[in-house]
Amino acid sequence: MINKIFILTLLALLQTISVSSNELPRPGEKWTNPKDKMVFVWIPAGSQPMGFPKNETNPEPSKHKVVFPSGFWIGRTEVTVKQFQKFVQETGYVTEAEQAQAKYTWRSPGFSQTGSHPVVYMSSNDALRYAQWAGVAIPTEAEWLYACHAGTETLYPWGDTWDDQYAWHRENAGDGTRPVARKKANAWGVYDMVGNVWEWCVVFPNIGLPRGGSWSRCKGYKTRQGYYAEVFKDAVEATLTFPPSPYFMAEGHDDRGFRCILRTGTPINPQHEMGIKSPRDQ
Amino acid sequence: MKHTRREFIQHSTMSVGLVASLPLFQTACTCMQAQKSDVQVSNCCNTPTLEKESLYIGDKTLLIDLSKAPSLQQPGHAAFVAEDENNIQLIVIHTRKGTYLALSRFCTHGMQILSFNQEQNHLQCNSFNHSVFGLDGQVLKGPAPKPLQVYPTQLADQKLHITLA
Repeated sequence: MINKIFILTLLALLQTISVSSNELPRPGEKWTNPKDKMVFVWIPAGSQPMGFPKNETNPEPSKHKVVFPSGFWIGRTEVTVKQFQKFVQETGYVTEAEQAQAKYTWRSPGFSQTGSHPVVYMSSNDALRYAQWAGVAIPTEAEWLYACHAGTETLYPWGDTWDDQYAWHRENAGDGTRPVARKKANAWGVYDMVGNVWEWCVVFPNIGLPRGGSWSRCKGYKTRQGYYAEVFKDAVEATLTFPPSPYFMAEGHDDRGFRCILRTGTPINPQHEMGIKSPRDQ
Repeated sequence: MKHTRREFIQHSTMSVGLVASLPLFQTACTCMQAQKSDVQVSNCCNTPTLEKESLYIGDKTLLIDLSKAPSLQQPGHAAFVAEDENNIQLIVIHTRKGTYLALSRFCTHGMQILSFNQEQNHLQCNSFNHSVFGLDGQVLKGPAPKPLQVYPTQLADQKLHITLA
């Protein structure tokens, strides 16, 4: 009798697991947020290695993995001017650049733009307020990097050699941003993860850092001093130093935008570095 | 070699089409100019260092023998003068035929190097916040707190004199 109950319970459990796994979306599957019509794509469960290398300000190097046990949804594109306009119309929100009466704002960034261009002159607070309104969130750096790499182990998310078909940068974008989703998407169907605009990510509860490089960054260059930078290096490596450069954190610029995320589970070990206080707390 | 009327029209149409499409390609590709010759030329991301043999450093003046400076030969090109010993850090720009400018080559925000963007006719910082400066040194955009230093230039007999003081 006990055996029979055990077997029936086990069968019921297996059926539940089977139904649950059937219900999980497939990588690249789409969902549209009714609030702003942003199309999200499904990012499957997995993990992202994170950590700070050893340097002068960080004598103890650290490495850990952030695990995403149930996957998440991420915006297929950066948030556009049209979508941000809807948010402003509904809420009367005034961006930080507008409050500061800056010369340039998301409405007039200093180059021509249409509704399908990514919104720029965004501060991390502007991004958080938008996400709150849209019922979604801003990705953590780990979530962003995981979605950017799209399960690949190659040097770039598209292969081992640079390919201009995937990224807008200074040498092919001209004098400003380009409409979203004009380049090829990565393996999980996400556009413009490298280049076009820097995208705000949450690193600490009260601090954001941009990821992704932008249209204003060079594809790559070397100087006499050996300084080397490129849009992809910016996309995936530049904040792996602590404390982050204040220049890097500068808010409200003509290449600072964002994309949103919708979590379906709680990441394990989500903080970039659990023991370190945010620079704003120090 | 004779052509029929039809062949002539076909060739003419193709040529006109090709010529008409050239400006589009030029606009898109200026920043990625092919560097087939040995001479390094600047683009919106890279700036070569001026040929040493063209440079004569005087007391508060700099003389560039342009006949020995292929990197500055074409209008639209720029070159760095980076002389640490003499504390000279300039970008020299050949803006148009016979016109040369000399400015500080470091952004006034984070002291990162600048590039000359021929298409936009301005200087752009290569760092994250990419401040933009006009050719008069004034800040056009970005967080740079003050203008670039501009050095007076004078051209005579293929020699460019730059006053440093």
